[in-house]
Amino acid sequence: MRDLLRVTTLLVAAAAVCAQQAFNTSQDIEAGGRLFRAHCAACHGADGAAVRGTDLGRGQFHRGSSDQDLFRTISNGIPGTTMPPISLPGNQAWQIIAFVRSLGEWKAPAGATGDPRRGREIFDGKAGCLTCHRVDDKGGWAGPDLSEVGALRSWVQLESSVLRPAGTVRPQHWQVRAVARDGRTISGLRLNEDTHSLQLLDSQGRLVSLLKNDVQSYEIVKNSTMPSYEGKLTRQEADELVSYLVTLKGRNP
Amino acid sequence: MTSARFLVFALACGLPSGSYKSQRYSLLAQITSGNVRDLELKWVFQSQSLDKFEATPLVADGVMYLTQPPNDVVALDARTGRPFWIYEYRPSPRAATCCGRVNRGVGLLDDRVFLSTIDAHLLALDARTGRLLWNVEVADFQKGYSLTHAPLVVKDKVIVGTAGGEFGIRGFLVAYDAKTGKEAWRFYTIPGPGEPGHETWSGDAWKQGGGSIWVTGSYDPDTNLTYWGVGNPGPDWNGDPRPGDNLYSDCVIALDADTGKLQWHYQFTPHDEWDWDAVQVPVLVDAEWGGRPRKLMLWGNRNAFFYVLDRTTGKFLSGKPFAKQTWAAGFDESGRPIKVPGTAPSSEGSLVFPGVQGATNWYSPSYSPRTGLFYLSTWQGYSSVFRKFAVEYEPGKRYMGGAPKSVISALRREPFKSWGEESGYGAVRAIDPQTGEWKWQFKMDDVTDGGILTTATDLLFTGGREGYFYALDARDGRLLWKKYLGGQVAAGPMTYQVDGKQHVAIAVGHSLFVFGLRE
Repeated sequence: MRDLLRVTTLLVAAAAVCAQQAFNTSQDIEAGGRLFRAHCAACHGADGAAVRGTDLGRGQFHRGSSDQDLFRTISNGIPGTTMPPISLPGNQAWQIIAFVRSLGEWKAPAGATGDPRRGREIFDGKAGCLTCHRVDDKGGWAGPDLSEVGALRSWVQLESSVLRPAGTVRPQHWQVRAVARDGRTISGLRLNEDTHSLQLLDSQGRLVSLLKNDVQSYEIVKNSTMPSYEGKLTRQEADELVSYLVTLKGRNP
Repeated sequence: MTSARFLVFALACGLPSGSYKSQRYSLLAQITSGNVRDLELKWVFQSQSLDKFEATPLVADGVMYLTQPPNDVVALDARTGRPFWIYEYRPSPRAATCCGRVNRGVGLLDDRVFLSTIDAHLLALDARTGRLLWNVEVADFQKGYSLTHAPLVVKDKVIVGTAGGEFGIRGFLVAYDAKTGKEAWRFYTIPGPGEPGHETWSGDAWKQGGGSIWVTGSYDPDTNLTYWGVGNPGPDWNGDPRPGDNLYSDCVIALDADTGKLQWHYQFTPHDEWDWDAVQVPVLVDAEWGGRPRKLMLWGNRNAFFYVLDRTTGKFLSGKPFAKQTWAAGFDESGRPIKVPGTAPSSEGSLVFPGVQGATNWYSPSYSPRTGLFYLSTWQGYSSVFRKFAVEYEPGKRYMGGAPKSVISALRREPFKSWGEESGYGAVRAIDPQTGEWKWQFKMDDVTDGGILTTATDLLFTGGREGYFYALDARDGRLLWKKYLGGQVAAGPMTYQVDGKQHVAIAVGHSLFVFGLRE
């Protein structure tokens, strides 16, 4: 029995280490952010600094600072304090840890200042972002909906996306271009895909499901079609644009 | 109701009960008594939760919107079942519901989906992305309030009522602006001091008088009235703390849809001590009555009577039992039931038919304009021994003054039958509204919590606790097709057309099954 326990413990530890290594992608950080806001932010604050003596984004913890320490603290709580144990399925604790590790990037870097109202004018006007992106009930459907982007991405990430859009984009932002049997082109954001079908939000904002056998052809577009704003916006304008984006946190989360 | 798209689907399947008249009657006619044997499984949605699956889905523009219990919304391709998006809502684990963490479906207006939650919030989501648009706290769940029914959209408002009749709530119906989530009007089902009806309560009993709302109401654009069934008074099974009729518990209420002002009410069970919520879907029918066309409301009540009311005035037109009952000797001229002495709960126990779950319950009935019959799922020959005891109100705790006992378990049971027909059985009964008599019945060994759907091809779809899903002939109750799906049916079937093909959907056990004709 004891051996079995030991083996189990080892397996759990091994699984934990593997999990820790595997669950720190940008998607994990995003999912971790959602979980953090659902389970942690009420006490720790959105920036992780609300509990006296801790500042999660700056590595100040009450008890242990390694990833394993944080995993234990989340899973077991800290007896005698208001930190409760939280039972989370799958890899969600690791995703929260990945998010906590990214907290430092969420604040504006030193020297970067911007007026969100001015940033919104640039967003709606000069930069033409609404052509492809959506905020609340305005804008197009070609690019990702940005209504909650300030809750999902840090300042550093947003600035990088504006000035140096990645060559490839995250799988949840891949586009589909399909040609129907009648020659019609259908394009949109890929929401889901399996062996036989594709689900997308088309450029008109409609939910469309395609059977792969029913179309002449289709392709998954993994490259970003987002233009770089490096050189198109001044340094100050870019800061202002980002300062607006970080205010987009959806409604009543 | 600002777009044609909504109107089109309001006629088909964009409203929780099929249409504002809540007849659960569909004009779709591809599946007939001639080909119903060719129904085959098209796809299955498997819920990720083991909570009871009571939802009826809605379909608009080829997209099915369904709640996964307790409070997730999923948007599925109605043709393949593949998900477009899932909105996960985590209600407070402390949210209190009497009978399971359930949800009966969403509301839909233009590009918005509305979800009510068991921790008493109402949410609006973007139907295209599942993104949260607004989230309002309707009531304090810590005081026993919850929301379990599909919101009803009327014009630019979304209407929802509060459950919690076993927790000493003071129930209400509330309308919000669909765009902003701003409260437009509110109607308390238990009138406060100075309001008409308050005199039917004594002392402070009204403050925890119950009057929950947990199935979706109906709406008549001609009268601009929205009709809702109201639940039991609190505490259950012991009326001593609340002498009086206890309005508007166990009533149908008719409210002006723009203002929420009460136009009329009818109380099915005054001073209810049996827990016979009037939580049935109000079925609106335009038909001849007494030789002239009349706007009627048909109602098969938990108290075992089938009612016909005039829905413009609330006038009682007829009331006939559709199942064995021992509590009422009939009605006086005004339509008030005459109670049989000795049927109230007592400390030693009183045997009463129907039992606590009623001769029917929240299971959606159906009316077919083709057959002129009203169909409901009933528990026949079913009784309880009602015992009462004293109870003190404590905020957020159960507020129940008794313990009814029946051979047949109230909510669900293991898949083995342990009683005989003398303790009760389930049936679909087809009632002729003109006479109140039933024309045919389809008997089941076990009781049924299944809703009913009828179609323009005289088909009737329903299911029961045994796990069968049935197609019957709506004209005579003949069994045309059945499929054993291995779980309890505790939801209403619906039908929709996508890619020109008719489908039928039903939640059974922990999955939603979708059938269509073999190709």
